[in-house]
Amino acid sequence: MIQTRLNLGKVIGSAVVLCTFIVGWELLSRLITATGSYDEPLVPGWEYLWSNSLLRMADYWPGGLGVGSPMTGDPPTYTAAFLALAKASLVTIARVLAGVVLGVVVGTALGLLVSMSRLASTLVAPTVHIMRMAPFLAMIPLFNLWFGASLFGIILFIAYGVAVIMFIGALNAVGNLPSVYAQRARVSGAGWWQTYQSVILPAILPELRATFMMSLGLAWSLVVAGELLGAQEGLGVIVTYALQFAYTGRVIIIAFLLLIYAAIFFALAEYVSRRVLAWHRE
Amino acid sequence: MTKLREAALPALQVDELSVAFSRADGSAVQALDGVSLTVEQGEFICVLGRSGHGKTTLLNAIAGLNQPQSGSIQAMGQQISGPGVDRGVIFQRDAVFPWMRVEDNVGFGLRVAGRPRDEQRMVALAQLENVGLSHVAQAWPRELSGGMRARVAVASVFAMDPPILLADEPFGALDYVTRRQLQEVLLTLWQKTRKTIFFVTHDVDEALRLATRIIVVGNGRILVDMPTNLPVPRSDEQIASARGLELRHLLLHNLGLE
Repeated sequence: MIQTRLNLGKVIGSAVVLCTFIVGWELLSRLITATGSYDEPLVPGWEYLWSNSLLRMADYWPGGLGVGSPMTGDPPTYTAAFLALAKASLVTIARVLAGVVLGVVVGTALGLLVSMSRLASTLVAPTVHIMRMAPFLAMIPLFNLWFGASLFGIILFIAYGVAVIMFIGALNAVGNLPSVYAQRARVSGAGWWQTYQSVILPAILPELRATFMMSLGLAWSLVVAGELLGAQEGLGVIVTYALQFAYTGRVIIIAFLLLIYAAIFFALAEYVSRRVLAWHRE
Repeated sequence: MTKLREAALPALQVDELSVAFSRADGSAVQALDGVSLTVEQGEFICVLGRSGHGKTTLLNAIAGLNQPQSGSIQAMGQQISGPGVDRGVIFQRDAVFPWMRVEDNVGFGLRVAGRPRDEQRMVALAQLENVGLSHVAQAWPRELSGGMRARVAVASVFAMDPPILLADEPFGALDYVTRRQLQEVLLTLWQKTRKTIFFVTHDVDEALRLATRIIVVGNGRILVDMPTNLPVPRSDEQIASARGLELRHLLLHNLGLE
């Protein structure tokens, strides 16, 4: 009963905040009527966002599927607009997914590997901590040069960022484990592989989960940053084009989309990890 | 012939064992200083001593968890060089794996040994029955009380059926009533299986209740090593008998209290 009331309260609270935001934004758009260099309002209202910014997403539809493209002289349609957004979203989401999976696997595996040896931990950890402190965005030009701003290059860039964080997370998590777990595994006859597989790995999952959530947020930042700088496709590319003409409205739409995708990823990760970690007390 | 010889073997043979640790400032601590000890099969030994005087170090050395400076340890006639399944350990800290259901915790040793899943289950359930926890076989450890988790730890060790059982203040963190219940469980299992038990405790009453032989360790050496000569199982009256009081007095004296 209390649970339902709490949930209801949560829903009502969220709805109130959302409504306040929608109304507040509209008021703000009527209050601030200044325009940018191409007559685009700096704070576009909802009507403008829907009928202009969203519709003009059709500009980024190259044509195909029987839907005409403004690039070839056809008038902009909402179908073309949604197709353009869907195509760019797919590319961006695929990059995030691939980068996160690659980064989590490589980072966690390396972290576990290094954690096996005290010497290796002492040698490697400081270097990785420096890599963590160095701004990830500063590495974009390097990744651009080495791998190009291709699908692959940006995936590698995301994987790099995620892997660095997961590596440190895994190393710390192993270090924080009560030694009695590994001792119990040893006196039960477990070899190092069994110890890692059935004791260390499950034991660090709760701490690793927090690290993973952090790296997921980072992955979304990295994908946009990577796409802003020279990619051919993706949501970040639309932002790049829109910025050239100061199309504030279009930038806002992409920002909303990214927000929604990131929120869905978080919710999914939250749901799955809760199931996997049923044994863990919150 | 082999059986006869095995039966005659001491469970544990510790010879001139010394263990040293270095402190953070670089100075050395002599935790054990030339300890020799023979434990016969089926004995229930309680090791008493003040904190930091070498009880746990001795147990860990026998478990193969620390590296002796010199000396040797044989378990069932075999020189030990590390942990082994012939020596089960119940730890001082809660070592029940929180990510495994109770049943899987108890079956962990068998799983490591590569025994079939059915056997793991069967043995685990039998051991849980022994400690009175059949009804929580599918529970997560976080759902159990401290006393129940201690029972899981006992069941996990007995599931592996080692000839020697090492226990490091296993009930030290439990309240009085729960501790008494766990002692009862352990005693019953010991009487049933006649395993050799090497039980470290800081509690004189616990030692008087459980042990067939009591050892007091102080400053890294053995100060007292004597049989209790009390019946098993023993009642409160028997512990309070003339023999019991004499033992208690001797133990307290060697612990620096009387």
